[in-house]
Formats: sequence, C-alpha cells, structure tokens
Amino acid sequence: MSRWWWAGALAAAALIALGGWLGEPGQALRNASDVCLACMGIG
Amino acid sequence: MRHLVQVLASVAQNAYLAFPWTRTLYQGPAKRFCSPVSNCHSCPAAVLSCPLGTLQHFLASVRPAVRWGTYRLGFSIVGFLLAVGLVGGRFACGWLCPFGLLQELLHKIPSPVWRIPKALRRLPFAALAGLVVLLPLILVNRLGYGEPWFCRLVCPPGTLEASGLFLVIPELRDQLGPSFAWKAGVLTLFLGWAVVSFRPYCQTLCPLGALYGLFNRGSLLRVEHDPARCRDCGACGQGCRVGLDPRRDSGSPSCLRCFECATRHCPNGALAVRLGPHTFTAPCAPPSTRAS
Repeated sequence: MSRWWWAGALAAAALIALGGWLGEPGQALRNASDVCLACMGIG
Repeated sequence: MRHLVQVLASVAQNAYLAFPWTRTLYQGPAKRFCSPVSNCHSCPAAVLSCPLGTLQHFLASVRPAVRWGTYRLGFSIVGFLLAVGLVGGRFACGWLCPFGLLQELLHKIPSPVWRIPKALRRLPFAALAGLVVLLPLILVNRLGYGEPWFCRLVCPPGTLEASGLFLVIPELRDQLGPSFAWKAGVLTLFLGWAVVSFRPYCQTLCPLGALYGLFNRGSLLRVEHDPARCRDCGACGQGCRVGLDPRRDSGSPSCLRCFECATRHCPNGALAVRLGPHTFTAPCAPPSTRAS
C-alpha cells in the first residue's frame, strides 16, 4: 500500500469519527426517514 | 457467482418487507448508515440510507448547520465514500448495486449491441461536480437550504425505487406533476438504453460510480496484469463489456470491477484479482496455459 493509500485511510477514519461525534448519523436517519419528495419527483 | 451476490445484496439493502402493512418507510437504526451504492432511501423497503442522497442533504444544509453551530457538514459520509473507494474502487458498482443488476438483466434481452462512446463517460464527473456538489451548495432558499438536485432532476434508481411508495400511499399520486413526468422519462430512457448497451446509467451518468472510479487505480482490490503470462490474444479486451483493454486500462475509472476479464476471459492466467498483498489467479484459466 502506498503512502497515499494510508493517508486516505487515515483521513476516512478521522472524517467518520468526526461525523459520528457531531451526531451526523442521527441527522442521516432523520433525513432518510422522511419521504423524500425530490426522490419521488414531486414538487 | 457475481449475479448471486448482486441479488443477495439487492435483497439485503431492501429487506423491509413489512411496508405494505405499515404504509411507511423503514425508520429503524440501520438507516443511520449508508449503503455503498445508489439505493434510494425513499424506497419503502430500503433499510440503509442512500450515500448520494445523504451527501446532498448535508451539502444542501451547510449554511444552516454553520449558522446554528451544529457543524454537521457531512464529514462521515465523505469519510465513508473515501473508505469504500480506497478498499474496492468500483467494486460496489460491479457486485452490490441493485440498479446495476437491473440494467444487466435488461441487457440479456436479445438485441443489437451499441457500445457507448468514450466521450460520454465524462458525463458522470459533470453530474458529480454540478448536480451533487455545487448546485446543492449554491442554489439556496431564503432560509439557506439547498435542494438535492441530482435526486430532483435525474436519479433513475431513485425514481424507480421511491415510486414504490405510490403503491402504499396512494394519496401521493395526486401530487404528481411535470417533475415526475420528467424523471419517469429519464428512467425509461435508461431502462430502454440498457437493452442495447451495457449499464448505460453507470457509464454515462452515475456520480457515485464516477467518485469510486477515481480510486480504481490505487484501491486495495484491483486487477493486475502479468506481462510474463500474457500472450496478447486480446480476449480480455474483446470480452470487456465497458470496452476497456484490461492489459492497459485495469485502473480506468470506467472499470466496474466485475473481474470477468480475470475470471472468465483470459485463457492464460495473465490477469489476476489482487486484494492488497494477496493474489487470486483466475480459477477458470486452463492449468496447462497458466505457466508459460
């Protein structure tokens, strides 16, 4: 694995941890649990 | 084997089969997490979030998130997409995507074959930059909220899968308008096109595939060419359904990582699937031709 790959993996882990700490999974749950009118072509 | 994995992955991502009775979307804890592929979270059976939809939702609410100090800017989804790309490149496209499977099934209908011009393969990058990232960030209402423009204007998997809700919430049908007609037209175009071309949505529009494709060259899982074994017969290039020559292009962003070049087409064992330091030689390569 190249240095770039390891840097990317480290960045991915840090971003996921930061998002989790900020409560993004809960926000994602709320977003995904609403009927998305855009997805359905309404509006 | 690959089709079996595709079917299982499609079922696993859409496993909430109680929706005809509950008449609602799945709202359980699994939806905190994203699927690695485009699987609309407004599909009533979907148990995971859609990464494209989730990314657009976060980008569309960047300004309010900063104003209110929550700073939920989509870090986790960016990290997740980065991780999926680093591990497999477009592996998720080739093996896990339900809409990819549907297109492949349509392509089995006997018909003339039309190979998609290479120039059209740049369009997914435009869709990623324009509809997924820039427009949700830039076009905002008075409160600072943007829209998920890719979902609103084009997303064919979303149109197909979210339409399942019309079956369980018939009242929504009364709200259909020109926007739905446009999206249904786009969906019909790609489904019809899939009969004559191999996975046209994946090759000409899918922003998620474009993103994962950027990692194809350096991902953990990849195809490796061994020039010492290669007899330059060209069977791999003739068999590649996205028109690549795996001897040179195995790291191309267009490669869907189906691995059929290594497992089905190369008669000499010159193409192998690699996962980090581990190499998996083609199981179907005739043993007599493997060593040269």
